[in-house]
Amino acid sequence: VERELRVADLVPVLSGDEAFGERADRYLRRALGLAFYILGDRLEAEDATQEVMLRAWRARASLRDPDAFEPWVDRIVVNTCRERLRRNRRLRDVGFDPGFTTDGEGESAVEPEVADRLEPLLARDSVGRALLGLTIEQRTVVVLRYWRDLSLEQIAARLDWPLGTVKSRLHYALAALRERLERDEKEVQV
Amino acid sequence: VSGQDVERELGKLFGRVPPPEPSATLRAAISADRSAPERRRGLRTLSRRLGLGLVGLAAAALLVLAALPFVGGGPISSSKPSSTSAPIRASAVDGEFRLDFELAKGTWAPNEPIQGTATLSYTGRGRAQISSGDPTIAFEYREVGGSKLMRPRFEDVLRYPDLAAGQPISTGLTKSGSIGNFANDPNVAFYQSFYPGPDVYLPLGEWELTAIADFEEGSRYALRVPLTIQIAGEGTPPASQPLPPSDCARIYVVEPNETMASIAAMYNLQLWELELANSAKDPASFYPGMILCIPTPGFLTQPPPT
Repeated sequence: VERELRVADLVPVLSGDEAFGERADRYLRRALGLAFYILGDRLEAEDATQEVMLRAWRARASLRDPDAFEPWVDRIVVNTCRERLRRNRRLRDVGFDPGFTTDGEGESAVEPEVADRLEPLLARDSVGRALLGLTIEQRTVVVLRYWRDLSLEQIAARLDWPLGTVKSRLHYALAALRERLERDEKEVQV
Repeated sequence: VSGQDVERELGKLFGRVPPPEPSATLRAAISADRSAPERRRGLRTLSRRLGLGLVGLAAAALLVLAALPFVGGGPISSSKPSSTSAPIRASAVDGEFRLDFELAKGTWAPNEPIQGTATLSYTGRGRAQISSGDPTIAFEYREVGGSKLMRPRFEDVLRYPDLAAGQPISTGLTKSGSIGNFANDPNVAFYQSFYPGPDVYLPLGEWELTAIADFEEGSRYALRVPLTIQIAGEGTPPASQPLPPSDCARIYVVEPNETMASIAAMYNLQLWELELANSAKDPASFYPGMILCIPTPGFLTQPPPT
């Protein structure tokens, strides 16, 4: 699905900030795409991406290995999106459970409040709606696997999640999507 | 539905709903973020291009120091509005790039469209390859001694990835502006009077117009050239845009190459919904910079949430 060439193949070796700015600019579309599929909304995704690029820029000195650029930015994208969803949720619902860190496998299958406020485009599509019905962690794994074509091992390394966690998240995500699509199919037939 | 079906459906989804293209606004915001805390000039670029060694680098550093008053994008010449009919102009130089800004005169009536040109030229040898960042020329409008401000809106004015010596690139005065949180913005009334139609009109008073060129060529350049003008005399500016209803979910400023249909699709609205929410506007006069009210999806049919 991704048609962009690898940055490293195109850019002659520059030094320091120049190279960093150039890489970041060329990677912008893919970072924005990832944020868009996680958040489901173009403008939210643009806001998040601006935040991501600012964070990356400020922390650029900490990136020693230039080949690690893409995984590094992807991780910032995912973390920023999670924080933004959490923040928005706090704003909307003061009384919500503060233990949002659903890193265990017992995570709730659906976050309806989150899905509710993700308006256009993705929500217009039946498969997109099913995708937005997943937890953010499940959705992230699905997007990296099927949009970015990354292997489970790459996803685990990229997000610093245990491989087993990535596998089970993808497993539960696909099961939930399947259930949702089957339900839609039945509804259509009736 | 099998597991493979689900995977196939996902593959199709990403084709059906492609990721969005980064907007000019996003690119400009990212550029601005990078230049905000520390700005490093093109010393390294300059020395590399000239093939200077260590001594040369020191000499270049001296040169840059000497040029400091200009390097910050400050004007090297500027003219106050003295006569009502003579053109006024100023320029800024940054490294081998030069930005000239000229207005047809220094004093304008409120009903006169303001006319001017900004020109970016390369004064080095050969061609300068603009490596990244959207090369743009934009304009900022600021009321002197007042609070009215229209920030630059960066658009793709320069279509060419490189600039050749002796082949400058020009653009006429364009509208600017990015609206943040509409409800809290003290400039709303000003935006409404500023935006209608493609021509630039300003209210009575003294104004500072700044041409800005923002791009990267080795390092980041941001040239700014301010000019001060007076708006005085008789005349009524064209009618303001009507105030969008307060129940808009969002205010949207139309970008170049957008249509009512594309904006409706972006917000999951039917075209007629968007048209209805903006019924006071003439659909024939749709232009970049126009303010649209984006209603909540299904705003006509859904009862308010309880």
